Amino acid sequence: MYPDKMNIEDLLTDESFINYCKNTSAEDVSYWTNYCLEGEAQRQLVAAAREKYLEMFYTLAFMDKKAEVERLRSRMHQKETAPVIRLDSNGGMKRKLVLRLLVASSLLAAVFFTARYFIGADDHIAESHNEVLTHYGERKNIQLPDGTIVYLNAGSNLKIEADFGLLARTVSLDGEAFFDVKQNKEIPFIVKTTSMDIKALGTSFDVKAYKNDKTTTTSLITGLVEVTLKENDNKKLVLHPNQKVEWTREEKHVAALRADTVQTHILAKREVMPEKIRLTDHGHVKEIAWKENRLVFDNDPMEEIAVLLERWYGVQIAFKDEEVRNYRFTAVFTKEELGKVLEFLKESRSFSFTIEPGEPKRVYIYK
Amino acid sequence: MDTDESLWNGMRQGKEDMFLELYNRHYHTLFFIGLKEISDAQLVKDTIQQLFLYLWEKKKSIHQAENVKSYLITSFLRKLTADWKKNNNRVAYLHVAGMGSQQDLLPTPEEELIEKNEAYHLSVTLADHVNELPNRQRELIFLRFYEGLSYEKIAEQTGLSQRTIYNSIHEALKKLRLEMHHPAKPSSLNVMVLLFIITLVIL
Repeated sequence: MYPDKMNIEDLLTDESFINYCKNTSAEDVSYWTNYCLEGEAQRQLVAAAREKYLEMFYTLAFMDKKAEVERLRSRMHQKETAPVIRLDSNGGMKRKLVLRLLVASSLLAAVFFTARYFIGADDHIAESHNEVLTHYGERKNIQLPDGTIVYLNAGSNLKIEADFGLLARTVSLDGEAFFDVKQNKEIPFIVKTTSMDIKALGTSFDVKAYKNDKTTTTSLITGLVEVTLKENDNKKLVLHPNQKVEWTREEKHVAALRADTVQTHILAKREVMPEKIRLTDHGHVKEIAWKENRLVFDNDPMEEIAVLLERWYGVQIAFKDEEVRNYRFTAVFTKEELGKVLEFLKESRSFSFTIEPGEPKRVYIYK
Repeated sequence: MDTDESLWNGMRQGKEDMFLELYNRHYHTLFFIGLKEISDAQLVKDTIQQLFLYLWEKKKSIHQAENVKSYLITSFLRKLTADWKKNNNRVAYLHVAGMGSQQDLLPTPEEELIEKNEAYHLSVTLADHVNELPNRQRELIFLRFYEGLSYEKIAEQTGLSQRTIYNSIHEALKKLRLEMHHPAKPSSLNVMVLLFIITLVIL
């Protein structure tokens, strides 16, 4: 390089010059020190370039640290340890029980589940991935390239469509996720599921759309969304805060009526309206309780609770006595392990259970 | 200025701002030590956060620390090895295997730069203009001048040729330097920088 043609950018793009600034290579340090001695112009150039390097380094370092402190602060507030397990009796009489519990295996389960539970939520910047998935028993928090935060519940799959952020911000969901959408009036945020598409500009809402479930639910917490019911003639609904819409696929019904096209047509134009999101008696919003690490049951049958527990803890549950499927429970659990949850449910309406070790653990429910 | 020990005790008592100050104070030390061991910056950042989140969760049962800094470094390196092994089945580098040695407690060149406390080098204008760079150029600037990766390493990580990287960085630098002559635009960064400088002046 010719001295009089070199400028600051040339020095800064030179690896050896940066090594000189950082003092990481004796060879480079002596080269540039000698270069300074060649003349006043050279000395000034080196001094100016070094100052610019330091300015860049400190500024970049500060920017990175500031972002990381903010990220930590927001993650801290997600992992709040709330106390209390509360339980409501469901009008049934409390009965004394004979415990047929295998203490050893349930303790083992308790330790295992506690550990898995706390490892549960992870933060990811999904820039290089276009698909994120959680297994049963696992939850993840993701930040999308536009700054939107997605809380992904267990057993879920989120695909980020190509060209995210250009004309639209589109993702596809199989499972459950809570979206905290970064405001952008130009580029709508769209969540696609099998039965409904949800369009938002800057809001927070929960979408529950497990492929294995018959019902898909969108619950709006803040802002405004437009829901398109894809299996209902593409009817569009606008949700306001604290409203939700549920769509239940009635496949059997449709299949039976397939022969009669007129009746199928009528079925397709079912009346579906937004419903108000009800608070439970304890003042919880059931639809987003999971995001707060809470399990909320509101007069729910054991059958549904079992599905929820399967996803939450990553276990397999089988009913050995069918009638337990219909037992109903109301309860709130915060960061509890599976064994404890089942123990407490038992107190309210007697049933019994065993937890067998394995990968995944198996739970058997008896009356 | 609070000592490490008093920040540590503040954390144990559940004082969030003291806890965050602890993180603020040791972040770069841990970051650059981690980067020396493995070149995955995101994994290093995540590991540091997970360590601190764990400390915060277990704060009630933590003891008084004798040497906060070396405790943090040791725990961090231990966790980094464990997480690295989890993600990669191959044997951890010799460097990490020899972890806990005196080598790891020596300051990295970056940390030495930071310790020099040259706060006046912080530039609000520069930060704003870095943010305005096209994504690829901004990424390269961070990789080369913050993480300190060589052109070779950057090429490996991004899949670009060294020539392309060199040219992009050159272009980006031109943008940053030219714009430095313009008056600073107002931004929230101003307040942060002011506080940063005041804090350092107080120290």
